[in-house]
Amino acid sequence: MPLAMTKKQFLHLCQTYGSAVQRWPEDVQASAHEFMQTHPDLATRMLEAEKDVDDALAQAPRQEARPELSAQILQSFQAKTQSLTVKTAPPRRWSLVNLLWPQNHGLPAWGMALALMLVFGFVGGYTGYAYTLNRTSATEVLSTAFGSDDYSLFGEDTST
Amino acid sequence: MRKHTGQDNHRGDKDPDTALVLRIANGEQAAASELVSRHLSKMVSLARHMLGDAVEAEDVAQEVFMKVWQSAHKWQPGKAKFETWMHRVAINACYDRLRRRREVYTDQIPDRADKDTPGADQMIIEAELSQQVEDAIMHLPARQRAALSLCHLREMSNKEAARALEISVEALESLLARGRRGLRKHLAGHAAAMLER
Repeated sequence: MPLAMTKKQFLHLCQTYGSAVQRWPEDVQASAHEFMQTHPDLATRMLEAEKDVDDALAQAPRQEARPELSAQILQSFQAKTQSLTVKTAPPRRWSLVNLLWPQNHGLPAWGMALALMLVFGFVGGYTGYAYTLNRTSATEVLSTAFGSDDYSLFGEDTST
Repeated sequence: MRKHTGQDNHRGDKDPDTALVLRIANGEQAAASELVSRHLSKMVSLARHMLGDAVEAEDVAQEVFMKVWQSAHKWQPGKAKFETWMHRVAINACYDRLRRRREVYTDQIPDRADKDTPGADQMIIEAELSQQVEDAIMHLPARQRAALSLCHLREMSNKEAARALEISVEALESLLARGRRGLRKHLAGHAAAMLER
């Protein structure tokens, strides 16, 4: 059984939560109803005194959300999700293999081209170096380029 | 009478938004859409009461949901209701805007109806009353306005409202009582018109 509510407590609740007792905290409602039964006139006067403020609050403008706003907010979710997907993609590993055959870009040709350029660069470099040594035959040049003194590798007869 | 500790209609209940928030953290568009349809109007309405401006209210609502998208993966169920947290974010965003705002008051009444249409007078009176109430609410200190918005306009339980405002139930009750007194005082000049209705 709820403990008796005093006039002061009832007034405090009226002035705090307004004239609708059903909107007061649940744990005081039983006591409040008992107070209203034992002091009907006083309780009615106290509640009526707060009704003007409740009526005023009921007139406060209500703003509904526009469908366009809802769409904008959902677009921001999509944008956020996409940016997270990009951020969480595994970092690219910078290795020679990845450099030559980049994955997920559909461009293996430029990797191959780069590899060929490197090979020809080395060959060209060594060839130039060979010419500086005044070696005139093509076999000598190639042997210098590829680091071999065995001319037979390049089809030259070395038996003499 | 035992001292009341405040009502909490959702005490012991599961937070209805928890599952949605977890799905949002996983990037589910349908969950985001559901959360928006559940809470967007509440956020807009709360911000409107706090700021008295329809456009700014929408901006605040957008800020709240951006924050939701950013923070969903960090949400820890069980500490507080997600909706309460959303209200707190909205209120803090409103406080920030109120601090930055240059106060501009206007006495313009929204032009909602053609004066010649049937019932136009009634609509104009309602618009006037609505404007007067909004003016009166806007004259209250921001914290009192927030308390009234949550408890009277959003019909939130006092415990949830106190959590959203990060204050005790007693402090909330003090804000509510002072807010109601302030509102009555401001509306005193218009009381006759209000009571006639």
